[in-house]
Amino acid sequence: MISSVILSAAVIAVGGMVWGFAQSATTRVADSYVQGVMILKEECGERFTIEHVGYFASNNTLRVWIYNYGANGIIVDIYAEVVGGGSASVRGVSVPSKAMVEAQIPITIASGKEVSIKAVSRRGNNVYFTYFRS
Amino acid sequence: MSTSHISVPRDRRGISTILGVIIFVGLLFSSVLPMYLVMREADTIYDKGIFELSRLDDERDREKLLVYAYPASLNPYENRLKIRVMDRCELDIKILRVWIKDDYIVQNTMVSSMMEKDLGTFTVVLINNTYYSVKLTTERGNVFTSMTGSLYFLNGQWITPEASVCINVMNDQGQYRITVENATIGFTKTWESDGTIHYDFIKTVEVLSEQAIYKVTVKKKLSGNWYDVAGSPAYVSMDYPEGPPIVFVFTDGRQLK
Repeated sequence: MISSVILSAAVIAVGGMVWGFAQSATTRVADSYVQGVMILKEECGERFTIEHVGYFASNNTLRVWIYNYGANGIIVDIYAEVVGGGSASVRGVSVPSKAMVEAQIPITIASGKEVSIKAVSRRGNNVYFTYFRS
Repeated sequence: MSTSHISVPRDRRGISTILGVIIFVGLLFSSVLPMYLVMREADTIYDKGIFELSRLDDERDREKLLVYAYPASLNPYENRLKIRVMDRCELDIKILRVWIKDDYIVQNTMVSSMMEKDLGTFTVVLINNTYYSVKLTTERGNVFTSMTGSLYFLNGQWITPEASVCINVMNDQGQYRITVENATIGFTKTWESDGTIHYDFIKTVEVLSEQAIYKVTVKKKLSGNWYDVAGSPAYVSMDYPEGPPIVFVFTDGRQLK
């Protein structure tokens, strides 16, 4: 009789611990999985484009307009490279969803030169644009 | 050495087993199953998101907007540009911005599917010997450049493309004859393809810059005879400078009328 009670108590105690541990573990696993899926969804859902590029010769500034037509806000780093030499970048440009933002890159571009512009989001997506200075 | 047997009464020895099973089943339903359901829910949300994105990407690819930018009049030092758009797809298109050179004007204009719309006149700062590129941005992220190319301002006048009719022909293969005519003003121009064409093509025919309506006939040669293709004849109005200097005609050479 007593041994039966002891055995039951032991089963309840061990079972309770296992139950608690399992609950905690599965909750964490589920949270981590959901978080991973949501990050992946946001990464896949990024949509942005370099809408326009212009150059201010008076102060040697390349102006890049980025339009984020996706559902999530983005942070982009923009790199500009003049074919034949010269490069510059601007980092951490924040573009809210459905908004257009202008970024300015100080760089000297001679007339007739081609500039390759690349915008890379912090989630790893990127877009390209080629600009010719007339 | 002796052994002693511990005996549990027959009606009580299953209690711990039952408790164990209850705990196991409880664990299954309170931990594992909810975890599985949450994961499935996340997968469903992801799949739904990806499906919506692929639909939006597809819509973006199918967006087609013809943009015509041209000076508001033929007067010297005209500083206003007119912009007309034509939605050439099955989707309504929302225009967010009009770009003229490096400046943009915010818009919020919806163009219905297959419809034409005047966006109005836009005042520009005139700079001699300068190109003015005009383009539009849509809500779906497309940028459409003016079909009339960059307008060029030189010595008080705008240099625009010649008044012309652009005939788009969808084609598998065939030999074509295109005629643009206006009997009233005695204008007729005929073009015939040199042999068989194996791809879609565009033929531009220059017309008079005065306002007139032109009849455009596209015929395809089959067994020695010429037949009208789908969309032919078409009547187009050249109303430059009230309208753009280029007008488009769309025909389908894969089908006969």
